[in-house]
Order: sequence, then structure tokens, then C-alpha cells
Amino acid sequence: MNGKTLLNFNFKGGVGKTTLTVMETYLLGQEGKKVLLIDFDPQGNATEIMKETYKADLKPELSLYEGLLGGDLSKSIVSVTNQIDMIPTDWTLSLWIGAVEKVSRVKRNILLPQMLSKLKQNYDYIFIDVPPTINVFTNNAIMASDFISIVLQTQKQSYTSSLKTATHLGELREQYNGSFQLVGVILYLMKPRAKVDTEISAQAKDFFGEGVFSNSIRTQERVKTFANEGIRNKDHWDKRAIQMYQMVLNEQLLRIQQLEE
Amino acid sequence: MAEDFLNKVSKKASEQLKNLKSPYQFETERTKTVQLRMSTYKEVKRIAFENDEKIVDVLEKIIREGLAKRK
Repeated sequence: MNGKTLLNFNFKGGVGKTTLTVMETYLLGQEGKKVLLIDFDPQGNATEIMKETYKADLKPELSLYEGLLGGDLSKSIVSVTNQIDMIPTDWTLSLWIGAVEKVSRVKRNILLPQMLSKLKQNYDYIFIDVPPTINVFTNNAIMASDFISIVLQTQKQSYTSSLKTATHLGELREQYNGSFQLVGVILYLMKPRAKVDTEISAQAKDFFGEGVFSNSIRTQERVKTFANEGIRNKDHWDKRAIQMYQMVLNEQLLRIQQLEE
Repeated sequence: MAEDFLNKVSKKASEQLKNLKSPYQFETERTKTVQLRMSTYKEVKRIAFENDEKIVDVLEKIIREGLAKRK
């Protein structure tokens, strides 16, 4: 195996990055793929959802922060199911920003890629969940990724942030001669028929063209329940919400396949 | 890397954001002092003020344009 590292990113918060990332981990695990989810956000929301979904304790031998300090993440991994591994986090991770200040400006953004390169062979897919900002966490996650998708919630601020995100990704790749690729833009529709959503969707399609995914995510009450109580697949509404994410995942994987050809 | 999707949207987005640069740019390019006649300096200073730009950026554009025409 030579795992592909995927990142769903926008440095605007609350656009559905974490839910999407956890859902995709869940779905690929169900498909029998070997997946690693890294919660690289000190808020630890992805860790919380995974704990609820799998009713697991998720206590690694070494915390992610300790693993990063030691330059080896292998002892920070916990097995969630036969298919899914996770590197959970807690708020001690926020101390890492101070710890990397001693590292040169150039090297501090490529610490995670070096550590992940040793783990990639064990997985089909690696997902990194990041905080909504641009800092040493997100820069490391970007540099460690092979494929990045921008998540754009249909509101003005999210659209502007997606432009800044695209600019930042381009600059970072140029500076480091990186090899990650932009897969496209995933729309997160708050109210699909509302005026603002329609306008921002049209604006995004005009700007990003065919880069905008045909499948989008729509606000669903059931998804909020997943975030609180974990993902479940029992009744009609669960299946409907999961199907929506499955369509986005399928398109994402297809686009990645096309980029690799 | 070839002109792929990220390169295209990154440049387009930067233009749309009025050439906003990421704070994570490594460093700005070094500059050197050059001399200008006072009348030209005043004119450049006025252009920079009116366009809310740095003098160094105004001069860069004008000189680059001039140099390109020489080729």
C-alpha cells in the first residue's frame, strides 16, 4: 500500500470540514479500505465524533503532541476498527506551535510530511483534519497531503476565504516545490434554494469552473445528530445523510483517479 | 509543475484579492537604493499616494514595463 493523503480545507471555520473528513473515514472503512484519520486540530472535534461513533476510548500510548516532539507518530496511533486507525488529539496539541518556534521557518512546515512518510505504506488513505486557520498545523497538513479539496459553504465569507485558501495553497506549493494537487471545490449548501446560496454557488462555479463538484453537501438535521452522538446507519434519515456524503466521496475519488492518470 | 488547476485558480484568486500575499511568504525580495531626479520622484510619489501603493511597487511596474519594451 502507498496511502494517499487527503485534506478537506478552507481556513474559514464551521464550513463542515471535520464532519466531511470523519464521514469519509467512516465510509472508506466500511468499504474495506485501510484508513488512518489524524486529528490535527487541538479542538479535537474529529476525536469526539469518532469516540461517539465507535464507543471507543481512543487513548494512545503517546499523545499526538508527544509523538510530534519525538518525531515519530507510531505510538500515537490507536486502532478503532480492523480497517480504521486514528491519531486522536487533545488540547495539549496547541503547545506544538510554541515548540516548533525553535525550528527554522522553512523546516517547521514540513515536519509532519517527514513523519507521515514512514506510515503511508500501512494505509490506503490518510485523512488529516485541521483547524480553521493558516498556521503551522495547517501548513504541515497541506505539505503532507497529496490531494486537497476546498470546502466552500455558501456564504460570502466562506467564498472569500476559499479564494485566500487557493492563493495560499498555490504560494506554499511554489515555495516548497510541493507536489500536492487541488482536487476541486465541494459546496456546502445551507439552504439550497435560498438567494444567498444560489448566488454564491453561481459565483463559485463562475470562478472555479469545472473544479466545483457536481455533488454537494446540504444541511441536514441528521448530520448535526451525527456530530453530537456519532455516525449511525439505522433509519431512513441516517441512510439519506450517509448517501449524500457517499456521492461526494465517490466523486472525490474519481477526480483523484483522473489527476493520477 | 505544469499549469494545473491549482496554479490557475491560485493566480486568479490572488488577482481577485488585489495581489494579496499570504503572511507565510518566506521573505520579501531585497531592495537596493537608486537615485531619481526630484521632479520624477515627486511624480512617482504622487502616483503611489493616489493608488495607495508602495513607491517600490510603482517603480517596479514602471521599470519592468520599460525594460520589456526594450526587448
